[in-house]
Amino acid sequence: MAQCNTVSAAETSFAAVALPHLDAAYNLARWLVRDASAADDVVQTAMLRALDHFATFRGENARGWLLSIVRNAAYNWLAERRRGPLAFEEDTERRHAETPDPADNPEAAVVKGQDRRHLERLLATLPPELRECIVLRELEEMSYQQIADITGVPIGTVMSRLWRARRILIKQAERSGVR
Amino acid sequence: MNAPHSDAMGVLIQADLDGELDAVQAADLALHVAGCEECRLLSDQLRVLKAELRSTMPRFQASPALREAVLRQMGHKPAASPLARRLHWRHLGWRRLGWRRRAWLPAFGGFLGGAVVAALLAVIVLPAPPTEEHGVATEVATATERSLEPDHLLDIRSTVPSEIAEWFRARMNFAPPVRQPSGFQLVGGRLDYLHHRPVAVLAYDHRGGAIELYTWPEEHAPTLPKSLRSAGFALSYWREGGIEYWAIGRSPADLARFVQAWHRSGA
Repeated sequence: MAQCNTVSAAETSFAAVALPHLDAAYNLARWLVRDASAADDVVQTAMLRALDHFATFRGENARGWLLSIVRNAAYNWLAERRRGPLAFEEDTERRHAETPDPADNPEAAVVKGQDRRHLERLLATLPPELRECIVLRELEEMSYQQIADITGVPIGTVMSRLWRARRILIKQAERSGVR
Repeated sequence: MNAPHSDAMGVLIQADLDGELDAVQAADLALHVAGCEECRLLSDQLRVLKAELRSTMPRFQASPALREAVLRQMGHKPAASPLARRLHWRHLGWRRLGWRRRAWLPAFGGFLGGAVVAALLAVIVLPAPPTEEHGVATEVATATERSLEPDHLLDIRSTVPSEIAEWFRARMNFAPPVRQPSGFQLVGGRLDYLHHRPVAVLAYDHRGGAIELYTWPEEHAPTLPKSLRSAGFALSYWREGGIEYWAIGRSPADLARFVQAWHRSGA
């Protein structure tokens, strides 16, 4: 088809914009879908979408722009798997909240070295809306505003999601600490 | 930890640890924490958790194979990559719904062209089971079906047109005209992806039945649906003022009323 030969300039600049953030894209996808090969698929799908509407990219914050597309692709994948992330969120919160509070003890709250795998598993049980906030904040070191832009919610929602995620993690760490 | 004190303070303390407070706010907080046993504990716990997460959570890296695959994708016009095309359509749910990929896929490449078709064109009831194909209509139906279960999926819930238009403008460089057709209650909007492009979806409620309106800036001359298939959706397509519209709903009669009301509300 005729248009095949007319896109190399756009592709070159797209590569310059997008490729530096490929690891960030993969990391977010991997944490959201929790499966290596599914994350590969999600990133490839997202890169195609990004290339396709590269024209709408306004030239600032390439990482945030790309991650919002990756996030959308990951949620599509999750929705297809019938995990219904939005409905899932409240349930998980409730389930975690039902675990009894142990006696307050700062030492017990420390996640011990041997509990690292436990922490990882625990992160995996967080609903994706909470997990992505932790990933974007602690691994990508993004500001609340950047996270709000990527996830498409107000900054206050980002703050409350981060807090809910951390509250769950702290409670669970307390439980495993006193066990 | 017990709410509400610790919830309110938790948000504040974590904002401090995340570097999101200005100097005055941080000083105020420090003053409070110094005199509050509960908050001191919370602050310690959050600090430890942050350190643990940063040292424990793996930051996954793209494999060389993925990097190579992405580079390969870029080397081609995206729609020309069979692997990528397969992945894309698979993620849109084609395989799950059991529809066959056939000759219409390359036909999308033929979208380039001139003519603009104006005004309302067709209202089609999609019969099941599928026999023939039209890509965009089926994508709209798939996206709608997905969005309605288990709860109506919306990114922004609002009944205020200007709020919704502003929300889209901030995200996609495009704001659809948000109207309030009489008899239909605007309930919100969603950013969706159809055929590699972000689209603005407006959601309306009508006696408990959802009507969704998919809009995007017109790009290519449309291929009109010749025949369609999907799970009992009615669709209506038109273009107006440089924008393509797909309206979709369960009831053909309600959809027809919606389209009429939409055009009246813009006059």
